[in-house]
Formats: sequence, structure tokens, C-alpha cells
Amino acid sequence: MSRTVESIAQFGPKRALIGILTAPAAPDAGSPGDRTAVVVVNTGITHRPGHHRIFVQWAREMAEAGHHVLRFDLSGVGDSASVARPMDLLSAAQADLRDALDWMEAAGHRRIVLLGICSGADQGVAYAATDPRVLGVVAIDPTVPSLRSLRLELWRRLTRYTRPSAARRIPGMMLRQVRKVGRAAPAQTVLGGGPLATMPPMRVRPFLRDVYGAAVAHGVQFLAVFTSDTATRHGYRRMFADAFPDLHFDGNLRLCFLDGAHHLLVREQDRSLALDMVRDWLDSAAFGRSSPTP
Amino acid sequence: MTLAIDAPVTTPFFFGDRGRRLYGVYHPAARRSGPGRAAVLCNPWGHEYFQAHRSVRLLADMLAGAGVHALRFDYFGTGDSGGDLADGDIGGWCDDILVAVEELGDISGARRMTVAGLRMGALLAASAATRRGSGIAEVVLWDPLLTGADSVEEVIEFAARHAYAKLLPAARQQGAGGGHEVFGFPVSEAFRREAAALSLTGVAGTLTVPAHLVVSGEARDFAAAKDALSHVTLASVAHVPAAPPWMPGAHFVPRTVLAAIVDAMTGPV
Repeated sequence: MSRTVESIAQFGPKRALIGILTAPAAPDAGSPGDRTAVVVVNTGITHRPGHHRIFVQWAREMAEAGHHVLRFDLSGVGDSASVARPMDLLSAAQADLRDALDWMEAAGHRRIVLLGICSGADQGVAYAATDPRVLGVVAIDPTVPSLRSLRLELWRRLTRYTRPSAARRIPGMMLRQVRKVGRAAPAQTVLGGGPLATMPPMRVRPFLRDVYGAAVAHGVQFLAVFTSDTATRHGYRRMFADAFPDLHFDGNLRLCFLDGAHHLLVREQDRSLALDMVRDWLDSAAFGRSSPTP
Repeated sequence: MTLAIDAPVTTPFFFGDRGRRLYGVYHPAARRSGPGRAAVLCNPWGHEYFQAHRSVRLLADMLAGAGVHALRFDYFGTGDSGGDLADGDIGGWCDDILVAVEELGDISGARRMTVAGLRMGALLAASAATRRGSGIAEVVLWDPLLTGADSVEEVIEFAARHAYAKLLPAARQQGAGGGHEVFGFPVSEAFRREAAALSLTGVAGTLTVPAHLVVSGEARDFAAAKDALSHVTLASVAHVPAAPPWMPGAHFVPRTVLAAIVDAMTGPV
């Protein structure tokens, strides 16, 4: 017999947003609001099961541990209809998230953790400070504008041209790569894009510094998991410290690193390891939100 | 403030029995067409399912707009349906298609049922239609695989070319179901054998309902599919070259191909 129960969630304007709520089946699991609930945000335009169905598996395993988990599609993604909100993409997604948390609250959940990979992580980070129901964010490979990653990416691109036949064209090709990385540099879009891609590149780092800073000031807890497959990606554990040297997370940030893991956690063992990190953090983080210090 | 919703009304729901719950989305026909037509849409397998999801959804919208009730659904162990990835099996997925056909018949009241499938979904659709008493009047084969094994082998080939070398098939522990992990998807030896045994030629030999063939690949793909279906009554054939929506990194919808499928399904009976 299944230890979880899944039901359809429809909410937002004209119930246009569609998701699946995965809940513990055990009758002694307590009232819904007792444990932290999790809301999963889409990874880019991949619909809510997630790459390799990662979020289905995670939702069921988290529900077995007593958490209610909502996986839903942002407007225009997956099964959700496109809601023509008169705002930019990032703001529209934030409005969708608010609708999701309203629906969760109506179901009895006011202690929410947002979870996302890549652009989904960015959405969660951007939203966290704006809603008192958000106690924590699981950010797997969020955008972090670290100059070290940028240097490594530039080096990887430049060292592609080792064939003698390419020698004559090397200067032009190298220049193109430098320009590409240079254009992406401030947004670190060599490592992602998503909602921040619509923002002027020079605004990305200050924007992230502000939203992280505001969330930490409210007591929001963060779990940041970074991957690095070395062939295509240059994540490392201390990216935050390099990118935001003036931000002080104190005890509000746990950093984890999955060396050799693909960005989308393609391998089963990496998905399993990452889930262990998430479950451990959910069980041990000191969730509790406060008013920001003036 | 009233916000515009840019999509037809759809109804997501679970169906099937408790041990094999299936997730589906019903797209009711926007207008009535003759005796009532309906179509069950069958997904491709593996990563192709995720890449093609948007195209399959749009096809359902277009069919509904053309007066055909549509149901797209996830096979057991895939998408939002019950079960784990490793629970998937070809025979069970054909059973799932028949359950979906019955469900769509019940909720739509349509009397003429088409099953349309993409890639491996095309093989599954045709295979389901060969079952006695399936209630399927015709099938649409959209870029059908020649054999089920092609889908697995193509993924292995893609993984081998990928910059991330660790994507090559790795053996899975027996306790986790055994077999291999192919590009992040568990593939048991039993699944591989079932997939290898599923072929367009083999299914065509027992298919007694008319088929529509829609191919978006190269001319040789079109010719190979027509050859495999030489003993089948082809109600229509269409070669509509377009970029494949199931390829990794594909973020586009082949609208011309979808339009050809809708045309095929809404033509005179």
C-alpha cells in the first residue's frame, strides 16, 4: 500500500495553474501545518515532474517523512495555462508563487520551504524575502556570479582550439568566446539564465545580493547545493563567499557540494545524494522567521 | 483586475485502479463534430517525453479546437502517474492505453476513438490497437520508431557524445531493480527485451484498423516507415519536414506537423 497520497491542485486566476500535492498517507502524520511543507518550482520550461522525474521521486520520499509537497507548473509551462499578467517574466512567476502559497495556506500550510534547481532556485531566492510564509529555500545550482567560475569557463572555451588545422582561425574564434563570456559575465549566464536572463546583466549581482540580504534579515534559511561536472560547469562550494563577500549569512546558510554531479542531477546516485542533503536539512534547520532588524 | 487566460479549458485528473493510478488531462472538444470523435495521445519514452510534452499538449489543444475530445496521459511509472521509473513495462503501457481509451469514451461520449502516438508512443498505440475489443477505430503514427530498441539505443548514442562522460550506461544494483541506467533512466533487462521485440513491422502484421502516418524526419525515415507499413491500410500519409520536438535541447513546437495530424484525424471517415 502506498505511503503517500497524491491529489490535483488547481489555483490562480481561473484555476489556470495546475500541480500535484503529495501528502503523507499515515493517519498519525498530524495536522497539515505541523511540519514544514515544500513547494517545488519548475526548472526552466521542464514541467513539474522535473528532469528524470526527480521531483516526483523527491516529493514522494519527503511525503513519507511527513512533509506535504506541492509540485506545480508556472503559468505557460507544462499543464498550466498561460496567464497574461501585465508584468515581466520574473514578476509574473513571483505572482504564480504567491498563488501557490495562498493555495497551500488554504490547505493549512503556513510554514513553507521553496525548492528549485537552476532557474527554479533563482525563483525561490527572489521570492523568499517577499512572503512571511517562506521559512527556507533549497537552491540547487542557483545563479551565483562568481568570477572564479567565469575564469574557468573562459579557459575551457579558449582551450577548445588545440587542433593544428584551427590555428589560422584561432584569434577570431578566441575573440568570439571572450565576447560571449564577457557578455554573460555579470549575470554568470554561462552557468544558467532563467528569470534573471531578462534582467540587464549589470543588475544581476546587486539584485541577488539584495534579495539574499533581505531574506537572511527575515531569518530565512538556505540550503545551497552546487554541482560540478568539470567538463561543462565550474561550481564549487564557496561560490557564495566569492560572489557576495559583503553578505553575512551567519547560521542561515548550509553549503553542500556534489563533486562530479551533472547540473540536472542526471545520475540516479546524484539525485539520491542530493535528496539526502535536503531531508537532513529539513530535519535540522532552525526554521523561524523574524522581522528584519531596522 | 481580470487576467486573460491564453489556453482552452482542460481538466487534469487521476484514473485507473488504486494499484495503477494514471494521470491524465482531458481537453474537451470546443464544438461537436458528427458522431463525436475522440483521441488518446500516447507519449514517447524517456527524455523524449519531457522534450515533447509541450508539443503533445498543443496537439491536444488543437484537436479540441477542431472538435475532437482529447486525453493525454502518463503511462504507469512515468510523469505524474503512480509507480516508479523502474516499474515501466511495454505490456503494461499498452494496457494503460486501453484504460485511457475506455476512460475517454466514458467522459466524452464519443463514438469514434483514435489513438495517436509519438515515437515509441506510436508503437504502443499500434500495439494496443491490435488487442481484441480495443475499441480503437484508427491509429495515428507520428514519427514512429522502427523498433522499440531504437529509443534506448539512440539515448545511449546521445549519452556517448555528451561532454559529461558519466552519462554512459552504468550497471544498476540488483536491489534497485538491476539492468542499466541509461542517461539517468533505469532500463531493466526485461524492459530492453520487450522494447527490442516491439517493431513497426511486427505490429503492422496484426494491425487491422486504418493508420495515418505522419513523418517529420528525413525522406529516408518516411520511406522506411511506409515500407514497414506496407501491409497496413494507410488512411493518409504525410511527410512534413520539421525539427524534431523530442531531441534534447529542443524548445520548439512543430506546428506544421501538428496541423497535419489534426487534418488527418478530422478528415472524412
